Amino acid sequence: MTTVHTDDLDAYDDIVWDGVQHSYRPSPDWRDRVSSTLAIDTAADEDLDPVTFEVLRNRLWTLNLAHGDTLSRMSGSPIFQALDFNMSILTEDGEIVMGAPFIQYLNTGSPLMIRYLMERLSENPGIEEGDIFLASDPWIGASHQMDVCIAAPVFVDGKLFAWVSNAAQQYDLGGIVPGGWPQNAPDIFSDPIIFRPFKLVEQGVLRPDLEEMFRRQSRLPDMVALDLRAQLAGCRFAAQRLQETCEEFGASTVKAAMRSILDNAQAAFARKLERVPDCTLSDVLYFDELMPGDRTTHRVQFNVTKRGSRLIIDNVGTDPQVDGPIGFTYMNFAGIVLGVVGQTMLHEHTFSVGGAERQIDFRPRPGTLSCVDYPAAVSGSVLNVSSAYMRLHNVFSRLMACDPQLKEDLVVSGPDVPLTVIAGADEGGRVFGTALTEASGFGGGARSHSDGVDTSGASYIPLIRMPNIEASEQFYPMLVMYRRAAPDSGGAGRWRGGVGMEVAITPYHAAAIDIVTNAGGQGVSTNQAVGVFGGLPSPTARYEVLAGTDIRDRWTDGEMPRDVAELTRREAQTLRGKSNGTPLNADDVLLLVVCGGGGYGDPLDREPERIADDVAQGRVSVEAAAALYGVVLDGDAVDAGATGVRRTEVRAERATWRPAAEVFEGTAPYDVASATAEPAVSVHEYVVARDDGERRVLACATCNHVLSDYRDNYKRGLLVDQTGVDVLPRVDDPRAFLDEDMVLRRYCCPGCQTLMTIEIARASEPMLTEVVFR
Amino acid sequence: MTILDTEHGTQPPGSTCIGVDVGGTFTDAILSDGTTVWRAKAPSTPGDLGAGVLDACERVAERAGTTLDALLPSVARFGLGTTAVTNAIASRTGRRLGLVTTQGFEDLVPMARAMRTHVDGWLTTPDSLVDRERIRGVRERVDRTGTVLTALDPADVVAEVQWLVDHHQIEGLTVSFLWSCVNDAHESAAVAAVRERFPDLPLTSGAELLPVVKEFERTQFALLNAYTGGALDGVDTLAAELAARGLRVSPLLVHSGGGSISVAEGRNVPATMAESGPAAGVIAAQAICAATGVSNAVTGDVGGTSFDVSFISDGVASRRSTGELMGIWTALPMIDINSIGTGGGSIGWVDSLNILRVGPRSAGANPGPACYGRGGSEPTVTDALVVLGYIDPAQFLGGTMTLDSDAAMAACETLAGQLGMSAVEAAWGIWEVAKSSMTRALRARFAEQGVDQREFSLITMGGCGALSSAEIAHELGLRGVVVPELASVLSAFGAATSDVRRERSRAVSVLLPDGSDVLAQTAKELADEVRADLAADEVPDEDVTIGLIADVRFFRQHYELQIPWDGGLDEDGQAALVKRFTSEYVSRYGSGAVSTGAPVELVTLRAYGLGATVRASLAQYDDGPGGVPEPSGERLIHLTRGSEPTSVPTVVGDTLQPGHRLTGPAVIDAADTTIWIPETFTATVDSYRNLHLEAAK
Repeated sequence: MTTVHTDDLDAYDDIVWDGVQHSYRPSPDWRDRVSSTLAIDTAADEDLDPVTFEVLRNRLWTLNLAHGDTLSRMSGSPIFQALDFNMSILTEDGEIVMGAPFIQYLNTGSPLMIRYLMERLSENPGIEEGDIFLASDPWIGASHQMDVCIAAPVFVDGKLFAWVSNAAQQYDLGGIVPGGWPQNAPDIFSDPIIFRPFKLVEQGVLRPDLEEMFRRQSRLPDMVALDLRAQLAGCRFAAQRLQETCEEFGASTVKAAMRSILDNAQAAFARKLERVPDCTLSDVLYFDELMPGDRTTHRVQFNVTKRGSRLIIDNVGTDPQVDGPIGFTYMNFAGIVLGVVGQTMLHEHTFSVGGAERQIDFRPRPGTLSCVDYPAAVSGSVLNVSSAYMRLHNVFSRLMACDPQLKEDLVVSGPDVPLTVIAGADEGGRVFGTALTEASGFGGGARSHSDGVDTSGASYIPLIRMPNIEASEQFYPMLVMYRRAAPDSGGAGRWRGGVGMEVAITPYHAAAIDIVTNAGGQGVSTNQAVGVFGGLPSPTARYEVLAGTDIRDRWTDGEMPRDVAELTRREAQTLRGKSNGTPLNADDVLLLVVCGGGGYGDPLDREPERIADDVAQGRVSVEAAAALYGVVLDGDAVDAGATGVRRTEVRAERATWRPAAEVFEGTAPYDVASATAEPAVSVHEYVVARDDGERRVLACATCNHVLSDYRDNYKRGLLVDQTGVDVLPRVDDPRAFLDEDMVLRRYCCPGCQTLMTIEIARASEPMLTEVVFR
Repeated sequence: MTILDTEHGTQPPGSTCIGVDVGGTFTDAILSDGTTVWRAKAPSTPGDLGAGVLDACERVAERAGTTLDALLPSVARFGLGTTAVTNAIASRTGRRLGLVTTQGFEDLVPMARAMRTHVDGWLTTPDSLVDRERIRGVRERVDRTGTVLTALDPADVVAEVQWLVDHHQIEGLTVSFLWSCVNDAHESAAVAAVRERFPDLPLTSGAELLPVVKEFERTQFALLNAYTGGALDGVDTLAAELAARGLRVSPLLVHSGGGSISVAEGRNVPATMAESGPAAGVIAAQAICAATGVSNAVTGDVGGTSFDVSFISDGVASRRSTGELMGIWTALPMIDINSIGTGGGSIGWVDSLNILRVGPRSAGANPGPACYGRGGSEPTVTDALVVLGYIDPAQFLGGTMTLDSDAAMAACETLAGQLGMSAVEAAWGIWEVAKSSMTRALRARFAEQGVDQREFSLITMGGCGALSSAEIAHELGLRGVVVPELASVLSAFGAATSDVRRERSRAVSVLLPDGSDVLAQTAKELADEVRADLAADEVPDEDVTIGLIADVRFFRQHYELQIPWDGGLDEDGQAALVKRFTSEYVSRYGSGAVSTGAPVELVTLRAYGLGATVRASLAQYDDGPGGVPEPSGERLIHLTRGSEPTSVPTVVGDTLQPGHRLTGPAVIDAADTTIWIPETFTATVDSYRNLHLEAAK
């Protein structure tokens, strides 16, 4: 057992990443342990004409998407319909040549699984043409046990030419709570079952005994069997098409195209990184509720160090793992970084994350919440993976804002997923259970040049769809009272986060319905998507059960209430972010509020006319227009005079905030930066790096006020205000859920009072460092 | 199952077919008597569709040596395609709409189920056809079984519509409620109340137009039809006038799927006409592929305002039934056609960085290019081609229209002044930019399809398509170019060649085998309805073929396969259907894909009716003497940038005969198109007088 107690990343070199206690990571010499009986095809043409390259690149893309189409069309699961899967094409040694626009982090573990197979299984039971392997071990390649990975070797002329893989969320695979997200699992032994990699299909023949073993683990074996067939057929389909492509173009030509795709993506990523100054960016987020009812919070930190054309990612500052399903494994730690990079920095390279991966050193400390060791419970914590993914959007937004071209592509964080599962039986006794896919109808994060997309769905599932109301009501014993955009649910900013929505449902011809809630991060207690560069966070999601309402009487009276506020109720209960089995009876109503994305830039910089339009479209309330944006409306129109006065008042109030260096004493040591004689460069929406006499400093881009030395934490030069998060619309005091005191800190320029950044932290935390330049 | 695979109607000897295509700039007409095809063009008349159509028809009758009035009584087929609906969508100039829907679901259309479309590589919400402010909810609710939970007061609907009219001056309205597909009582009551109070307000209803269980798709379809409703104004008047002048058959409109529908049905669902004209062109191109043995082709249609491309693989045109149409989400089945903004009328201009740009703004039909002499002063692609010598101003449209070459030169000079170059250089610039933009668009489409372009031929359509096709094909490494004899009027020809197709469907959701009479009953009702639809389209009963299609899936799946069902509805027939489904499933997903014993569900039953109509056929000609055709003269053309004009031999298109062969450089002046054969190319004429261009090896 290896234990590391140091922040010295080099000391991590001795960690044994063997997939037993720590996660599996292939060591540099892993290829030496691949069986010599496995013939591997590495031949690639030296010259590839550009037309053939383009044809093959698109052929592979189409083939990979068709793989996904096969999966979703054959499946019977509503989860597959929400596109909770992804698929890849990989080289013979497991580099991802191409991903697809489905869940971005879901299949980034396939290189781990494939290298494990080659290293450990190629001798016995061997890897042969027609074989297909299955694995769901989160310490190898699965995001969590429910995301079952399937990988098939592709052979050409008897040699291993490539791999195809998919990973998809299963309907149920055991564990102490149906559906695979047990939030009361102290450790892995209460979680859904783990499958170490095994060969399910031998040379084209499915082993019935192993399929039976797999089915036997599920509460819904037929559903799982249908989905398994879909996953196997997807891999078979992709493998066959890849073989046909090799026949048509020649294997060495196809391989050359695969290598070029990777090399191009790597080169493009490296070139982009070179345009950004060397720095270390950090962000801190918290995970609530070890188990339902628990009132503690847990700290997770990401540090992204950019050096030249490379990135080093570590998790120094992250709490050690604890009992309860809130942490995630190495596969996710790396996968979410690759997912965000693929989306924002490689979108023109067909999600070829294998190319980017070559430029990144992942240095997480194991045994921590973002790189848990066996036997932590992990299945129920997958929503925290999503929350961490979203926060990484902000880290990369700050990185990308340092270059004018990259800045165009940045996307601010979207919200946490307020997963809601309803399960029970209809009046005919038919059992049902489903995650409400409405939970994914949240708003997108703002961009550096435009608002986030309203009710867009998760950034990491670009092709996600919401179901029709009629489809939901047809399949499940429920009635939807309304589904509508939620005003003020997007983070305020110069560019506004997209808004989320409110859905109210009530049982309808149901025998019994139970609600399970499972929200990521602090999405129900404190905040959702945090904004960047002064953009404000989106508010908390909300689960509210109104028990014993008069809804049925209202129907009898021929009424359909517009809002749950119109209903009388015996009792109203706000559910926690994690809860198991709250009954929803016939007269009860569940209100689910799904929030929007984080904002970008100071809300006072938003044009008043845009606010008037936001109000007219129901995206911002009149109250929030005045409180957050300083915009006063006169009917539908902007009251320019009153708006000017109001904005001046807000700035005057900010001028009274206290210097951050006084509030938070002490700073990390740094070497004073000398003047470089280089011109001023923008490193933040509101900050430039420039010479100031003999020094290189960070200064306000608006008023030129010097904020700090170039290598110091610029926030020390700002004014800070520390309040409760409930100053924001739609946010209640988190102490209803938490023992911890959570605060919102807003930082503005002492010179011009521009809101430059915000952070949400435990009250006991010192000022958080978001960036240090080198 | 596509109607494209079927060959139903033919052209009986002695009958006459007229096909018309109303484009943005020209209205084309063809006339076929079964052995000869005549063609003519007339300027389009935006806002008064009929005038241009009649003008083109009169001209084509004249070409055939008769008059329209003399001809009309013998016309057995009158087909019409139009880009009017396309233009309304592309330019976002449809009606200003209001939507009345179930209270609580007003955001349904703007949310669009989180559908996404591409804008500059980023995914964003598709444009909504109706602004959020003009969506009003009324109190009413029906449950999934059709039971009324909350009754509708039609007065509420009238009040909301009054508000929309007063505050937003709406020009059209859609009414669409939840579950109106199961019980349309509320929706039809609302429609009736609105029609009574606002008799002149165009109105569509989701339950009337698309009664399927999917409220977003249903509402969107109703909205799109309300939005585009005005685009076909004038088509009824045209039909009436044609009838008054002796036409004995009803005109048929071509829809986006390449089939035909009656004028009444077109007025009812104008959205289905969104790609009418281009689809007709692709249908014609498909016929040419079949006739000439080309199996893989990309069609490139250079019109007045845009360049449209589509793919024919293994002889069948690509289709799609999902996705977006010009930024609007739609689920209409249609021929897959992509438009980019460069056509003959596209205007050359200089941007703020002093870079020469071409399009997307177009001179359209009025005033048209400067050389049309209708007051246009900005240089277009057509003007550039006149200046460079490719187009003979005296022989435009077969000599029916004389172009003003001085005006073309003057327009190019204006641009040249801004760029600090000569007029000829500016013209060359416009032509180069236009060609490279077409090449880029085609390259991108090939890339998206993931097919090898070297296997494909380019079929050119449109008036100036054949001037650039050889160079584009060469640049992309295509197999070759086919210039159909009817290149410039291909859509008009296509409009006279498609069958009438109608379809009705109903959700049944039964597990097979099903012992009840639900299937038999439903199939009979659907068939009767389709028969009635075709009768309304005036297809005689003896020309009608009815077929059944079953949408089948394994129980609990979410996607169905459409399986033709022709083996009877009894137990044996059902067993055959299941067998056919399973084998289709295995062929798509592999033999390991089927889980034994999984129940099979028949979700939706569809009846379709094909109405075989008289249709125009391609004219075939006897072999000529072969060899090189006689040149008609010479023309001075600027062959390269900055070069002095070179004398190039010209050939009159009418003199081309099957077996002819000529080598570039040469210009062929055909009736209403000009074909450029570059120096390294050879052209041969086939028995349909299509020209095949291939690069010298």
